[in-house]
Amino acid sequence: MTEPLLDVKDLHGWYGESHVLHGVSLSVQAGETVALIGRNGAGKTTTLRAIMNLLSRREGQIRFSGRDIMGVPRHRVAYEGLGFVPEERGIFHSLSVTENLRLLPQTGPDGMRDDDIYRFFPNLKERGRAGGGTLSGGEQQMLAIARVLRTGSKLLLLDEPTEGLAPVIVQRIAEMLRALKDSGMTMLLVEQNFHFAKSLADRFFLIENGQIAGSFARDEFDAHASAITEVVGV
Amino acid sequence: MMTVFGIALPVLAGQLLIGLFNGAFYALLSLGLAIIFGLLRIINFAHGALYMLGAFVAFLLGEWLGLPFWLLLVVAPLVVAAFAAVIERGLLTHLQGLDPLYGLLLTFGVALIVEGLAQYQFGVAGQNFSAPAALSGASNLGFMIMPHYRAFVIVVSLIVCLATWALIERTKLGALLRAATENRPLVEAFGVNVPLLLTATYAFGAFLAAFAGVMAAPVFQVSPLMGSNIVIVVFAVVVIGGMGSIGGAIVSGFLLGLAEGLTKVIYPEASNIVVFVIMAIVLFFRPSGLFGKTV
Repeated sequence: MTEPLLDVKDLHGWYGESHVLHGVSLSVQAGETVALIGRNGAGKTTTLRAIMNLLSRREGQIRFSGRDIMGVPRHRVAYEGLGFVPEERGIFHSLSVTENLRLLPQTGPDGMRDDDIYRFFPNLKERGRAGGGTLSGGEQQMLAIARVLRTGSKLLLLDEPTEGLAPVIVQRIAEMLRALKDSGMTMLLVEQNFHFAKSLADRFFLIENGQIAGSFARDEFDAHASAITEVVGV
Repeated sequence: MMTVFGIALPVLAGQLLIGLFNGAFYALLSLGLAIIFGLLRIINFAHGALYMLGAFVAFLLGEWLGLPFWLLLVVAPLVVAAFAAVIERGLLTHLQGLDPLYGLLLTFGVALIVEGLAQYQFGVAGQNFSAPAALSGASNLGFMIMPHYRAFVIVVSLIVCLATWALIERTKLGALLRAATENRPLVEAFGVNVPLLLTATYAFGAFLAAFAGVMAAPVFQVSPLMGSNIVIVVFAVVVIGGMGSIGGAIVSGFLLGLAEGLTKVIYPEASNIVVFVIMAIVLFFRPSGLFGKTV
């Protein structure tokens, strides 16, 4: 097995004084889509934030593309090739849709071109001058993904892309992410929507109380159904 | 003689002009305060001291090097901006994540030190600094006498304010600034050097203050206390306009200058407090200011 694109070992993370991550280890191979699933408060979002260096304190090991990125300052993490789609989308309301889309610096050579972005997300062109906050939840999610695709990131970290969206929109986002996956994009996905994660991910990590409670491939999903139900509580 | 509401037109127009002239300084100063507060969440009590420094640096560079006014108008604010960048990098950056009160106290301390040193060196008496010959004199417009330098200050201040507004609302750099004002960590995670943006923003606010200081130098005397005299009014202007609102700072700066001028004609005794009366009324009905969003 080649070295994973993202390799996290024994990652600890804190919010202020409270110790939230207790040694998370996970890996993502290049081209793979991995889902991190678990209950509310299990540490899914915190894991992504720790990888992006957004916590006040973290310890452990994070390697990306064979490089140790623990010492990389927050504003350089994106340049290592990590693209972040945060929870609640992180659309800037005081910026127009186009400004939101073009805000992120190019961090890699192979960013998606504007033509392709607009072919993928025609709404973003039509509503280009509208304020970021006036978009519907689904459009905001498309925008949050689109702006990261422009940067040329090698790995997308997606935090609950389906949260609060209508089923028909969830389906569209699933199609879109599948198309991305087919084009070779690597993704680490945090998801509460089980069905959605199952339809997309190649591999799963179960997280519980800030630790990885298990991992399995897609074809083992059914065999682990009872364990999953227990950890995720659905 | 023509009168408006029983007031001689030249008197009214003259006071309104002085009002606009004062408003030009309020606008430049409150604009800088609003930008700094928006991004750094620091209530910059050193703003008056930076304004004063602008005037002094211009005065000293004029004395020592004989630089012309036009050059001083750019060079002195750049010197003050560099000083402010050092303050931000050396001191303010360590306050990140703390209660805004710490920033207020620290910048207040910086103001006391800077003003104290200036007083130690120059005393409280004002230094004279003359406007360039090209801007001396006045024109008779028929209904009023218009001193050229005052007209110059009003026009230049308007241009600088509008250019700043356009920079923030219409450019890529401005979009970064607005985004970082909304969610600083996220913008940083997207690969933007936010610490550098903070330093640049503080330095830019200082540039505007010092720029106002240089323009004030020929009219008000260059004195160590010139900043603390004006900054109290400017804070009231920012509160009225709404903390962190760029357009609000500009508009309320000019409007309150006008209001002061108008009060001087109607009821001169109240002209020093009218801004604070308006502030109290605005705060009563709109606690977040005229143009502010509820935080």
